[in-house]
Amino acid sequence: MTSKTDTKRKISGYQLKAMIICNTVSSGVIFLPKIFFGCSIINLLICFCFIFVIIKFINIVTDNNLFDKNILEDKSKKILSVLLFIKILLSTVFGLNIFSRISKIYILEKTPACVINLILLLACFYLVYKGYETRARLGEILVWLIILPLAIVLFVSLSDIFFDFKNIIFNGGLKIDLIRSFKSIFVFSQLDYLFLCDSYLDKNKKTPKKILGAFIFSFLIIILLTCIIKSRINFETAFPITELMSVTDIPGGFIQNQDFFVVTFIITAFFSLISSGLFFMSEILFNLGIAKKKCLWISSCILFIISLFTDDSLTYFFICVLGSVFYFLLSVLFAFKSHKIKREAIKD
Amino acid sequence: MLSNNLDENIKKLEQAFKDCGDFVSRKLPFANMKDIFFYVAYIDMLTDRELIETQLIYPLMHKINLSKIDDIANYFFDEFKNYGMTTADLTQTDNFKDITTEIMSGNTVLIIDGVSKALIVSTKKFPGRGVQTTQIESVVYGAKDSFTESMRQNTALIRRRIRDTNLKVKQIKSGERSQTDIALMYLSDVVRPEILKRLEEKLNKIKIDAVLDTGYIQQFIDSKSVFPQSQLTERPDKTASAILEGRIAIIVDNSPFVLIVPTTINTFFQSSEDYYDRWQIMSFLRVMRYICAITATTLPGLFIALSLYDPSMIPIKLVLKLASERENVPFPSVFEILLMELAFELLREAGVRLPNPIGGTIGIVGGIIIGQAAVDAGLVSPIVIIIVALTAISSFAIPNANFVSALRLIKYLIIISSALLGLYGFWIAIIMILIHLASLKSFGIPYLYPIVSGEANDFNDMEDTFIRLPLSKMRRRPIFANKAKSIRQGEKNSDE
Repeated sequence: MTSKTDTKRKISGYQLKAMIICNTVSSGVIFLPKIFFGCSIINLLICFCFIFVIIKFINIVTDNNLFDKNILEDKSKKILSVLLFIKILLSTVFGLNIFSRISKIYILEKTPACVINLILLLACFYLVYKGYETRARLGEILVWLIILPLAIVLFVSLSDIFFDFKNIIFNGGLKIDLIRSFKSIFVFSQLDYLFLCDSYLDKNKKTPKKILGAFIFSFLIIILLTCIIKSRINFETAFPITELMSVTDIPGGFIQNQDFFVVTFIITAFFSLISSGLFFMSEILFNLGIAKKKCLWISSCILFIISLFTDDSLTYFFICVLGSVFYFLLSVLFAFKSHKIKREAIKD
Repeated sequence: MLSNNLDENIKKLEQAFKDCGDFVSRKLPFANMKDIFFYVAYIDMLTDRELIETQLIYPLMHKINLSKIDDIANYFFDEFKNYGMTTADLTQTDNFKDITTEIMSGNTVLIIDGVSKALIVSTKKFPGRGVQTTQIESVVYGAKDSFTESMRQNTALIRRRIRDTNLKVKQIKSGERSQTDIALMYLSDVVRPEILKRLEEKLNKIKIDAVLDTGYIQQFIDSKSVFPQSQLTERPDKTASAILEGRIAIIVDNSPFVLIVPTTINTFFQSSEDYYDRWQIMSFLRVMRYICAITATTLPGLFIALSLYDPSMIPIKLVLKLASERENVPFPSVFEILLMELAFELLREAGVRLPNPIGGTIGIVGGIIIGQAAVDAGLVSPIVIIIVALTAISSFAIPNANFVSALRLIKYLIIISSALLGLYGFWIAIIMILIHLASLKSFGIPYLYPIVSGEANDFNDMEDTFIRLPLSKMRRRPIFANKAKSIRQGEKNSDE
């Protein structure tokens, strides 16, 4: 383990926390409300429970240190890596496509989507090229650029908050809510971090707590925003959060409208998501045996090319299928290992 | 290597200094021994001639009686060296290269017939100016003295402020031809050894003809970034304060600027007087400097992005006023901004080149006249003048000229990016700059520390970043210091 005053060869728990908040909040508030999340909170709770269970499993398997085992190191698990790669690729493509759609509404109406995507990808490429330490440090700044506009909106809208829990939790009926929850786990939960940050993390006992803290914090923000959205705007709008930001009046009136905050939030949130996706893709390719220098180029090119041809609903379908297969296999594997470890412990 | 034959040595030395008009040398006989000679050599005007004549040549020619001495070599390099000379700074060498270097460094060489060693007597007396007031880093409160071109004078200015035997001055030479003296000053118990080692390695790797200024060293030890990763200062008090924090000062002979490493971005926002006045006022000024840095870098780009792509984000009354003022301007706002920014750069450059009294005037008069004329001619709108002026004034509020230059340059990147893609371009440029800054390190310490990676020192360094806490609360040294000596006041160190 690195010492406290060491000049940060690895990323700290605080930096990991910042990155998880960046990604979870970004994906949560952008993707979920309209397309998958409806206005139900129950899927968030299920999501959280699922994450908790996964972390518990890993804790048992890895002797109370969340990151001691990198699942991608084992050659027999290459299939899992391929699954995860395709899932992350599709999630990132999905993110890119939504970004270009939102950008055309709020920022650049006449610019072609591929140009918008290409520029964002270039910025992400630059970040991933600079390495994960840089990504971690940048995460500490980006988290404020993402949280602050949301915090302003939350603060100003607090009086309008809608706290009818019955309606919020069971909005679409139990069956629909469960299906939505199941799907949302694979779209917006940033579980990938738990498996791909291993070799970069400055591990200590507090790390699992910090990660859980980050997830809880992100979920609370999403729950609050969902409550506000429920009370303030029509859920059938394309992008409820951006819409909410636009209609929220900031006291003082020195700014004509809140588009500046919306744009800040959108760009930083998507940048955070896409860069993570790109990094994870390169990392998986590297773990699969492709030369480090080539991984980033290959990942970027695949990402850009696929983003030109994909259909959102089809992409989303595949993300859910691949995600569920991956996490199902993973859970079984962890359950099996934990059982084995317990049995060996009893024997001893 | 020197030989026993004095004539041979003289021949070799004079061959080395052939056609050097300032090289002074003479072969002289000892008192009462007209057949044994000694030879003195030095460079004119780099040495204290009176000292050479009274303390070296005169005793040798008139006082020492060699007829009573059996072993001349033993006598000179033992008895005479230790008891005969009235100067403390004496060394000896038998290396010919060392002799030439010492002569060029302002020392005098004494070679004696029949002895294969030379005595080096320190007789340095370089021409130079005295200590003067600061020119660039002026302050209202605090010391007014600044560094000079003399390395020794500069080390003395720091030593005067830190009277601690742990303050070390490690000297090296750099530059194949210039053989420039470089001094590293640090507190041996507070400095982090790995940083000192890395710095020495970097300095030893420098292979260059001449080191004429501190800027040369800075370019070799920094990575290839527009942002400086070492801090240039002309203030001895700032340097002393940095050394007390565990940082290392690099003093280069012939340069009135001292380099401080390691450096993080927040050190560029710290001024000496931040610690000389009440913390509330100075904290306010510190925050103002950060706001100024953001304004100096982003204001023109933001204006272009909003006025060209998103005028709906500007309040209606203001946007109407802007539109009416721009009615007769034939150019897009990006051209207006670039025109005025470049005109301002021109005035700034001209102001620096001109003599002092005229320089200041040309800046003000030029700015007003060109700005007013441009508005009257309908080339630019008044708001653009305001934005460019605000940007320029903001840049002057940051206490480090080196860092401001970097901000000036990246401002143009943001302008171009905003002109091409509006707010999207603006934010992408900002993100790219942040990525670049986040990737930088100064001797292993993240450049953006403690804004990022603050956890490495338990977020203690935030106490002197955006705000400056009362001095009594600043008990710990920043991350630059050795962990064992992290406490600087109020409590004894853990290892004592």
